[in-house]
Amino acid sequence: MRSLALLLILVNLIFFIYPKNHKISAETQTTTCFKIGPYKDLNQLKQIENQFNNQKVKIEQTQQLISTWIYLPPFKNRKAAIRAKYKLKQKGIDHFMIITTGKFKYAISLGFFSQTKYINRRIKELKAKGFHNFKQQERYKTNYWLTVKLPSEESLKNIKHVLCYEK
Amino acid sequence: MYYAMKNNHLKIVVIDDSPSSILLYKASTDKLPVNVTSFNLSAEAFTYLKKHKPDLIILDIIMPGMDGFTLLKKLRDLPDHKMTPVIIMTSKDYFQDRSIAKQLGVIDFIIKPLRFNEINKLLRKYITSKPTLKAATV
Repeated sequence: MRSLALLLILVNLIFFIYPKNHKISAETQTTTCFKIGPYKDLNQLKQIENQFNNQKVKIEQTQQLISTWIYLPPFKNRKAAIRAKYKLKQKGIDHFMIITTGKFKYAISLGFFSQTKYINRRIKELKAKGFHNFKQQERYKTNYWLTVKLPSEESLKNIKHVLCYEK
Repeated sequence: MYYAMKNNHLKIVVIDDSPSSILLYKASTDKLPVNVTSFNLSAEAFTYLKKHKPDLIILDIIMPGMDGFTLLKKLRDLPDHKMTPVIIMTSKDYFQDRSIAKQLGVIDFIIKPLRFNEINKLLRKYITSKPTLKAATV
């Protein structure tokens, strides 16, 4: 909430610095965009967007991969899953568990990973040991960004150094 | 490993690969009667937990190397940790994660990010009423 309050102050400051009656001809107009974020709460950002009832402030969203779940898909029954478990152990594969409830009942979880190097290492290990039927479930989170568009860079010279800037 | 110990306090082990999360847990529990021991690697935590039995474990799912669920499964295979209360912290709510957590006898499933006051409130709840657990079903 504090960061949103600061953001609000900053956006107000930008519009305050920029003279209201200032006009720029189409030939000389450039656009400076500040992309501020990421934020997780869309509702909070909408509150800010609503305060600027024009096109200068917009919300954008991006998807970010946060983790990948690697698993062997559900086996027919508990017996088949246990058989697969022994096969994994026999081949020297460690760190797994049989899921016994829910939609993935009798699947075998082979790990949750956030970093590509660990995902690749696990996949390489599985393939090398003859397990090719594994599945990957990629998990994403939505990030929201507040894009503030201004018609000129001139008014922003003094604050450029503290913000992510793209033209 | 970050370590702090005072006698007669609730012993909490936090396992999370994010140093900022660990700092937040420690700051949130600063004035509570708890001792917080923290790890950012599951393997290190497992070595520690083979010899120690805390009152509560707070565990992140996604970690480099061994993930939180795999660590918990290994802990449940140890006689001393069949009933240890565990709270799972995760950044996204997936039904199958809740299923796995239930299977592993987790007492609470919390979605991050948590703020200072939320962690404080959560831990106060467990300090005032010590959690009980059903035995893990696996």
